[in-house]
Amino acid sequence: MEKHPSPIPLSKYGKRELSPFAAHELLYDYHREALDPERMEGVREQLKKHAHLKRDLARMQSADLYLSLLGKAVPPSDAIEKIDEPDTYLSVLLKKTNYERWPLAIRWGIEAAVVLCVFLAVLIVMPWNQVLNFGLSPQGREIILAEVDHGSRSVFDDGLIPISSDETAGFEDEGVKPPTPVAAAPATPPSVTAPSAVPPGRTPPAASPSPSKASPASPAPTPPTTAKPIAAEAFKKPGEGALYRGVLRVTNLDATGPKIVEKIEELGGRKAGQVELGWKKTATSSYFHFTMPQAKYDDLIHFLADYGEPRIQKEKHPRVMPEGIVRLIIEVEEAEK
Amino acid sequence: MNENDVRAIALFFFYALLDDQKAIEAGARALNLAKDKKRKQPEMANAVALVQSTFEIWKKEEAEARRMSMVRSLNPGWSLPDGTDLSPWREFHKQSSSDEIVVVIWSKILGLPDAEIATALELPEGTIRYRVGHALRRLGELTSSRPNIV
Repeated sequence: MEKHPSPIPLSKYGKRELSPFAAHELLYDYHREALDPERMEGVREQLKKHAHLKRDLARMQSADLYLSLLGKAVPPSDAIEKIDEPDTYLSVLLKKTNYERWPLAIRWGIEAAVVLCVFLAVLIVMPWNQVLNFGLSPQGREIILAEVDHGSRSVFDDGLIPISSDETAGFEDEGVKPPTPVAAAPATPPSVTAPSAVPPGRTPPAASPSPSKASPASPAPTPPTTAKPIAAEAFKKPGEGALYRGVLRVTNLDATGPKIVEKIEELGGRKAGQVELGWKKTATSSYFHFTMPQAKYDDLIHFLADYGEPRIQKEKHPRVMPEGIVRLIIEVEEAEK
Repeated sequence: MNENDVRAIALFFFYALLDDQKAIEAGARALNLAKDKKRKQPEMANAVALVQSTFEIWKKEEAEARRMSMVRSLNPGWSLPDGTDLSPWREFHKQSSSDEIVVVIWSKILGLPDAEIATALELPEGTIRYRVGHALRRLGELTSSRPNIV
C-alpha cells in the first residue's frame, strides 16, 4: 500500500517541527515535564525562537511557585474543629440564617428578647406564694428531718393510752406545746378515760395531767372522753391530699371567734386536731383546725368575708381526706389598729 | 475522611470564598457531604469525594461569594508563609472564571492529581490541564509583575 505524504513538511534536518501555536498549547505540559522527549525538544526549540512563549513559561513558573506557597497555609485549629464538629439543629439554623452576619443591633435585640422571655416565663411559672411563705412564715422554715411511719402499730405497744377519736386521729395542731406523755398503768383497761396521755411523737393538747405544770397561757383543749384505739385508717400511707390553710384578720377577735365556731359547727364542721375550735393560740389570734363537707366550703368563705378578707390557699398534704371532706387550718388574728 | 482531607476542604473554601467564616460554614457542609458520599460508595477515592463535595457546595456559594466580595473578612489566624501576599490571588479571583479558580485550587494548591479531578468532574483530563495552564498564565501575569511577592 502506498503511503500518503505527510501534510506537515519536515525541517531541513528531517525533523517535524512544532508550530508556535502547538508549542503554546503544550507549554503547560512542558512546564510539568509531562511530554514525550520528542515534543519536549520541539517546545524547547520554539521557546528559543519566540519570546512570548518564553514569557508565558516564566509566568507559569512564577504562578506555580506562588500557588505552592499558598498551599502551605495553615488553617487555625479552631476552624478545623468547627468544620469537623457534628452539626446540631441550632448550629444548622444559625448557619442557614447567616446569624453571624446580621447587624449587631438586631442580634442584641433578639438576644435581649430571648432573655426577657425566659425571665417572664420564670416569673409566671414560679409559685411565688410558696416561695414567700417559705421565706417569711415561721412554719415555712420548719424542716422535716425524718418521718416515721407507725403503720398499723398499736399505740398500746408503747403502754400509752390514746386519747384521740377517729376524727382527730393523726391530725397535728400547730403551735401546741407537747406535754410530757404519761404512761398508763398496765392494769388500766383501754376503755377507761385517761386524762391526757398521748402517743409519743404526737402533738398533744395543752391540758396537762398535773395542773400545776400548765402555764396560764397554755391552751385548754377539750379533754378526750374515750380511749378508743387509733383507727388504722388514720395512719394510712401518705398520698396526694390537700390542706386549706389561711388567715383572717378581724377587728374584734373576742366577739368574732365564737361566731365563727358556731358557723363552722352549723356547716357540719368538726375539730380536727386536739385543741378546741377557736383555741386562743396567742393573745391576738385564735386557731381553727377542723374538717367539714367540701360542699359547704363556699358558704364558710362567704361567712368569713363578712368579718374580714380571708386569705386561704390550698396546699398539698400527705394526708388524703375522705371524698367530699376538706380539712382547714384558719388562724383568725386581731387586725392591727 | 482524615485530618488532611479536612484541612484540604478548609483551604479550598478559604481561597475560593476569601472569607474565613464562610469557609468554615461551607467547609463543614462539604465535609458532611463528602462523608455521605464515602458512606454510599466506600470504593470512591478520597480525592474524588473531596472534589465532588467541594464543587457542589461551591456552586451554591459562588453567587453569594461574588456578591458579597466587598464585605469579606479574612482572619489573621489563617497563617500564610512569611512574605506571601494574597493580593495577586484576590486579583486573580476577580478576573477569572469559576472553573479556573476551583481547578487551580484543587490541582496546584491542594495538589490533587489531575486524573482524579477529571474523574470527579466527569471531564477529560486534557480539559483540566488546559484550564490549569490558562489559569497559571493569568495568575503569572499578576505575580511576575510583583517580583517580591514570592
